[in-house]
Parts: sequence; C-alpha cells; structure tokens
Amino acid sequence: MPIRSKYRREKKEKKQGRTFREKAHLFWRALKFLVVVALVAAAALWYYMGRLDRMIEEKFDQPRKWDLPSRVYSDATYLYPGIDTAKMRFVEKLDRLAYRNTGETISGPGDYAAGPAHIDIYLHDFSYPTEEFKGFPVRLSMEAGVIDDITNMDSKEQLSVVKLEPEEISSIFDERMEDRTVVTLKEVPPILLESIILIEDERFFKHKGVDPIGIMRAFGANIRSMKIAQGGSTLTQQLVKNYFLYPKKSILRKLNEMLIAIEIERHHTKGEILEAYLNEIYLGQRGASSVSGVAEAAKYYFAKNVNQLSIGESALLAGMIRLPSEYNPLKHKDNAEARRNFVLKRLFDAGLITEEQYAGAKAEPIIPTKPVVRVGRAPYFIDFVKQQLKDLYPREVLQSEGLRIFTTLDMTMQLTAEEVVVSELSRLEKANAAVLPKEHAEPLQGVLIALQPGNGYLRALVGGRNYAESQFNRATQAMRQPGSAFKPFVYLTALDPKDSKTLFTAASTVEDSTFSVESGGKQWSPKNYDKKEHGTVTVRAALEQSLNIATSKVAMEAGLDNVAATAKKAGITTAIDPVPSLALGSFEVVPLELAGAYTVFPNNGILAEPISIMNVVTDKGEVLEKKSLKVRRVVDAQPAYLTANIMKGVVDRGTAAAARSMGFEGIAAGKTGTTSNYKDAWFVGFTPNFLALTWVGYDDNAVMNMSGARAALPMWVNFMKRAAPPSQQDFPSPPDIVLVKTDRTTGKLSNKNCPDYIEEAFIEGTEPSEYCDKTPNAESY
Amino acid sequence: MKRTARLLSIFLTLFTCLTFAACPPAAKKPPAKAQPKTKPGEAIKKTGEVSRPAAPAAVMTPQRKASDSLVEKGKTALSSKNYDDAAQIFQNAVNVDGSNGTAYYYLALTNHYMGQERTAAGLLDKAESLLRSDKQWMEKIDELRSLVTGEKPPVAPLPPIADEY
Repeated sequence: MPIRSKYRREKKEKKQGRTFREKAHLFWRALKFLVVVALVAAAALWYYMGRLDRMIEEKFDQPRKWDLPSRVYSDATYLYPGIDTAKMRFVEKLDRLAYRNTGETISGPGDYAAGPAHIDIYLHDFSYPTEEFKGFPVRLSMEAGVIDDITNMDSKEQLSVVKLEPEEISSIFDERMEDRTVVTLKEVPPILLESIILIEDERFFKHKGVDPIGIMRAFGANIRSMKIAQGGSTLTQQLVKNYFLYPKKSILRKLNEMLIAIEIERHHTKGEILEAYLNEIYLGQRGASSVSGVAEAAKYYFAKNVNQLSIGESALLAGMIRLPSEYNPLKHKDNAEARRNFVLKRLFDAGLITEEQYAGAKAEPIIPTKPVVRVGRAPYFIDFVKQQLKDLYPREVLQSEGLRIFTTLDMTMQLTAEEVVVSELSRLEKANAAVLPKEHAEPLQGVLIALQPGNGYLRALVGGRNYAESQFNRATQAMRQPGSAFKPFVYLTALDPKDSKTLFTAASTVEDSTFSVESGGKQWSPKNYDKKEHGTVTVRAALEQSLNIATSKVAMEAGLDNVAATAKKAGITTAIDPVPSLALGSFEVVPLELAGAYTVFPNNGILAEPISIMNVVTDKGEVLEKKSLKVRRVVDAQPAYLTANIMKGVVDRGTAAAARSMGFEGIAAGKTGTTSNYKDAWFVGFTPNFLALTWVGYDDNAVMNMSGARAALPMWVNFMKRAAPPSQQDFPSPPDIVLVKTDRTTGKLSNKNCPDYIEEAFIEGTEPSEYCDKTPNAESY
Repeated sequence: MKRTARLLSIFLTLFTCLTFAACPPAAKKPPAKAQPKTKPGEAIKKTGEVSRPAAPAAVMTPQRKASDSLVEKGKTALSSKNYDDAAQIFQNAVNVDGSNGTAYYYLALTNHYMGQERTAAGLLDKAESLLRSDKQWMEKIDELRSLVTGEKPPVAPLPPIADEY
C-alpha cells in the first residue's frame, strides 16, 4: 500500500474517530458481551422456568386443585296432603331453592309452574348422605292453598309424600371466598365446551399455550375498530391468569402468563387444561363470594346441574366469560340475550348446531333463578353448628375440603322465628316504653328455640335480635336465671313416688302462706309475684298460678337434693345448689339446655337431647360423621305426664292464659318464667309434637319490669301460630293413670255440692279418698 | 409462759366461737305441711268415680299416611341391613308425624341393631306411650324391650320385620 494512500486512510479513519482495528476490536468485545448476556439471560430464564415449573407442580399437579368451601344444609322438607302452602311460604321456599317460575309448563329440573289450583314442580336431583335422589315432575293439587293431592307427573302415580331438597344455608370459605362446584370434563355437555372454545380461543387445539396468530389477529381487529375489541389470550393463558397470577394488568404479569402457559402446555394434555379452565373460570359474584366454574354458574344462574343445560343456556354461559357482570342474566337480561344470540350465531356459522337448533335456542326465553344471596341466613344457628364442627375438624379442613354438613334446621321455621323475634321485641319496646329503663344503652334482646321433642331435632334457633350488631349467641352461650320456668321440675320431683321424700298429687293441698327458713346463714322468705298469700291451694293451682311460697314448700317437702337431681337428670348441667330458692329458679341455665330439659314433659319422662348436626359428608359422598339421636328415659312416665297435665292448665287458665286470648288454639302446655326484679322473661311451651322456648331480657341484666307472660309469651304465641299447626291430639297417657273428678279448691273428691270440679289425673292408687267437705253430708257425685 | 398460755386460751376460745358460728343451724321446718300426702308407695283407698284417659287413637290423617309411607320405605332399608338409611328415614317419619308410634318402634329397632341400646330403650318407651291401646303392638314392644334390656340374648340373624297392625 502506498504510503500516501495509507496515510490518507488513517487520516480519514482518524477523522471518523476510530481505526479499523479498533472497530474490529469493539465488535468482538460487543459480541462477547452479548454472548455473555445471552448466556446469563438463558441461565436466568432456565432457572426461572424451573421455578415456574415447581410452582406449577406444587399447585396444579395436585389431585385437589381448589380449596372447596364446606356447605351447611338445612333439613329436607316433606310435602304431603294437608299442608298449608301459604303458611309454609311455599313460593319463597322454591325461590330459595333456586327453582324457576317457567310460566305454564315445566320441562326440566328446577322448573315450576303455578296454576289456579295446582303447582307443578320438576324436582332437582340431590345427593343426600344416604341416597342419590333423581328429580322428577310432580303436581301438587291444592284446595284453598292446602295440598290435597300429590301426583308423579311421569308415572301418574299418586304419592302420599314428596320431599324438597335441603337448602344450602351457609358456606365456610377460605379468604378467597370462591364458591365452586368441581366437575370433570365428561360431565360438561359438548355444546358448552364447543361454545367456550369457539368464543374464547378458536385455535385452542392448535397452539402451544400462546397463540401468535391469535395475538396478531386481535391486534389487527383492535386497530380496525380503534378500541380493544379482542384479546389475544388463549384459554391456557386465561387459566394461568386466574389460577396462578393476580388480576392487575402489567407487562411482567403478561410475560409470566405466557411463560407459565407454555410450561403448562408442555406437561399437560389439552383435556386436563380445559377441565381446569372450566372449573376455574370466574363467572360472576354472589354477594361476597365469587361464582367460579361452569358448574357453579349453571347452578346459580339456571338452578341446573351443568349436564342439564340447554343449547341456549350453554351459549349464554360461554358468552358471559368475557364480561360476567355485564351479561349477568339476573341483572341484565337484554344484554345476556344479545350475547347469547351472538354466540349461537357463531355456533351456527361454524356448523356446530343445525338451523333448527339455532332457531330453537334463539327463541328460548331466558328464565334465570331469583337472585338469592346467602348472607346471614340463620346466623346464630350456623355459629352453633360451626362451634360443634370446630371440635371435629380443623378450620383448614372446613375451608378446603368441600364437606357437606346436613343439619336439622327447618329453614322456613327459622325465618319465621327470626321475624317474630325482631317484630316482637320492637313491639314490646314501643308498647312498654313506660316500664322499660329509660335510655338504656343496649337494646332488649330475645331468644327463640324450637325443638321436635320426639327426637330432639333443633328446628329453629335465634340467639339475638340482630346478628350484625351482636354475635353473642344467647340461646347457647348466655347463662340466665330460669325463675319460675324451673318450677315444673319441682313438681316433677314432688309427683314422683320414687324421687320425692313426700309424695304429692295434683290435688294435694299446700299452704300458700309466708314462712321463713334459714339459708346460707340468712333468713329466706319467698314472696308471691302479687305480694299476696293465697291460703290453702292445690298443687295444680300452685303451678298454674306460679305461686312462689307454695312451690318453695313443695320443693322442701319433696327434698331439695331430689329436685336438683331431677334437673340434672333432665340435662341441666350447671351446678344447682340444694337451697330453698332453687325452687324459684335462682341459679343459671343455658336456654338451649332448658329447652332440652322440657322435652321430658311431652315425652312422658324421656329426654331427647337437642341435636343440630345430622351428617358430615365429604365432597365424594363418604359419610364422615353421623350423629346419633340421644333419647333416653330419665324419669318415670307417670310423674312427667301428671306435670304436663297440670301445665296444660297454665295455658288454659293459669299465668299463660293470655295465649288463648291471643288466638292460640289446640292442645298445649307450658310455663311462664319471671326472675326476681324482672330481669328475665321466659315462656317454654309445647304441644305433643313441638316445643318452643322464648326469652326476653337485657344482656347486662338490667331490670325490664316485664313478666314472662307479658314479654315472652306473646313471642311464643306469635311464633307457634305461624310455625306449628294447632294440635288436636292430647298428650298420650302412660299406664296406671286414672282420672277422678276433684273439687278445684280443696282437691277432694267432687260431689253434687261441690260442682266446680276438674277431672284430675292421678297415678292409680294415689287418688284422694275424702269427699269435698264443703257440705255436711258428703255423697258420691 | 403465763402470757403465752393466756394468748393460746384466747385464740382457742375465738377459734371455737368462729367454728360454731360458721356451722349452719338446723333448718327450721316450714310452718304448714302439705295435705293430703302419702309416703312413697303408700296407696290411698279409692272411693271416687274413676275413669282412664283415652288412649291415643290411630287416626289416619294425611300426615299419618305420609309418615307411614316413610315407615314402609324405612322397613325396606332395614331389611336390606342399611341401618343408616333406615334410621334417617324413620327419623323423617317421626318429623312428619311425631305421634306415629310405629315410626318410633322401628327407629328403636334400628337403634337396637346399631347397638344404641339406651336410645333404643328411650324410643321404645315413646312408642309404647303412643301404641298402648294396641295389644299386638304392645307384645312386639315388650319383645323388643327384652332384647334391648338384655333380658333375652340378641337374635341372630335379624328378627323378621313386623307387619303392620
């Protein structure tokens, strides 16, 4: 190279800033750097993909992919001729069970149609702990709202009884609050699968998790429409976004979504991914919990199992995935219909449905269920159930294993009880404002417990007037003095030849006159509520009129230890000291225990312990827990019958006689209870087949100046009139009971000169022998 | 020494007084006694006109019919030895009609098969109070009671299910 030209080149390169050698050197340095960066990036990516892989393995490759909430159910409801559908609020019940009013005809599970004298229901399928129930159509023929005939519309067979499935009353969620019913791919109808794939990811079977063609197409469509009209996410990416990631949009999340989608597709089949997607996808909101997965959505929006969805319903569910709130058929029926028709058109265009199917599905009216948000149903009862479950299962199990808990609750009765407690307490506060403490910080509270005495089934439980304001369950946690509501246990002891130191009969007389006795180093002298003494009274009168003095004497003669022992036998677990004031209920009890103890009266001495949980079943149907009835004889039948017989008089003419003037009809017995200083008001009443307890008072034991008859009895009457039909059948009598006409005041045998008699019950051999001595010459009546 | 003895005597006197003061005095008898009354088991001579309460009648109400149909279903489960199913169905029969004595009887029988003898005995008593007027049912109840209380050895295989009376 001539020196001149070399000089020139060097001069030129110098002018340009660097020499060729320097350039080459720089190039090799940059290349080396890039290689190192690429290697580091590849290593980092490899490491990161490994981490993602482990995350997928930990979360996704498990047999149980989701935490399933446990569900608490009420008892099933039996329908039979004679039931008053208005009284049982039948249509409300159907709404709560998510039956759909389809107008005039029913075509599938979950439909009902009401005619002028009948109601047709296509019963839902239901998985009971001991039975897989297959729904069928029934016609309930009615006369003035009362069922008079039940027919299976398929077989035309006349049925004597049919049952409505239990209501789901509560779910026990984890913090994600996702309501989900898991299904397998096989259970999902093909038309729903095809609709979802067509509308959400047409190239699902062609891509490997991320679809560049789909992204480009979505990009082009968005440019053309100048808005975000399409998303390029595949089903796999949507699954990843919902299952692994968070909803907030970011570049990093999008990158992660793509990487995980690719990784999942490497290790899982399309079928597995699709099944996970169908169970994961978000399809709306029910109160605080989300509706997740197609099966839960089918139940929520159409009250159907997913395999029962029609073409139109499948198309709508598929269409809803994009914007569940906007296309929600419960709230935006027109939007939902337009979206469904759009999906149907796509299905038809793609040749997935015939023209006939297309026309039929398009003409199908959208009949969603009535939106029922399960918030705060039977809250005190649910708390009581959860309390018991806590002893059986850890919280994590309850929140994740999808257990099904079947209870004894009668939901209609529960709702009635809740309404009655609220309305009665408000009424009491208004009507008795003059006697209630002025400007009391806390509101008046109430308890209502309803039991089936034959088996101890807890049918309704209200532990306060407002759960949102106070979660303290007064029915199961409060310790309150029973006052006179305890007196029946005094008489139960006194009338029992085995348990009483001195045997009394209903016609025995006792002096209701002041006395004093030393108790705990002090003189104790009971007083009657009316501050009067009533002289010689019969045992019947003493209990019917709730006389404190006479009852205290009876208790002492029967033996205070014996009375305390009777209460213990009847299931009262709190310590009861055998002191004279025990007769007047001066100790504390839990209301639910007192309600349980009262079952000995309608049951002739048999205690039926209250039971609230019947079965706990896994999501696969395996019975984990089966609660047995606890029914046992604790006292002899005769004294229990005699006590109940006197307690009938409490309702008919005694301290609870106001029940009759309030319109309460039928055979019933019970006892009012008022504690000293009017801090607690009780009524515990029962028919042969039903028992209810009501309590009214303040949490802080403030004086309310209202008796049991004034405060608790109206609540009981109001509830019973709505919840229990009047009983025409009397309490069954045990053997060795005889009836003898006795004078009401003296308790002696009645004769023509003592015509004011009562047909009194006695244990055979204990009936009185003396005639009423109001006349000089006693004669047989 | 003298002083110590004096202090000791004062202490003992005080201690004795306090001990006796803390003892509850004998309870005073209430002024008036209940009349008439008897010692346990002592019968009073009968002189008045005596009748007996009517035994519960087996009225075939729709409620009873519904309950009975559940009893029939329960009996099928019982004969297939599906005790859990049977118990559930008989409990439902009781819920539908709490006066159905046969429902209690079969519930007692099921509980007996399940080894819940105490509950079986309680339910049997309840059945007895409702079926007292039916001689045949009472015989069946007595028979089952003797099994439940262990007076008779358990029968194996299962005793035949009773027919309706």
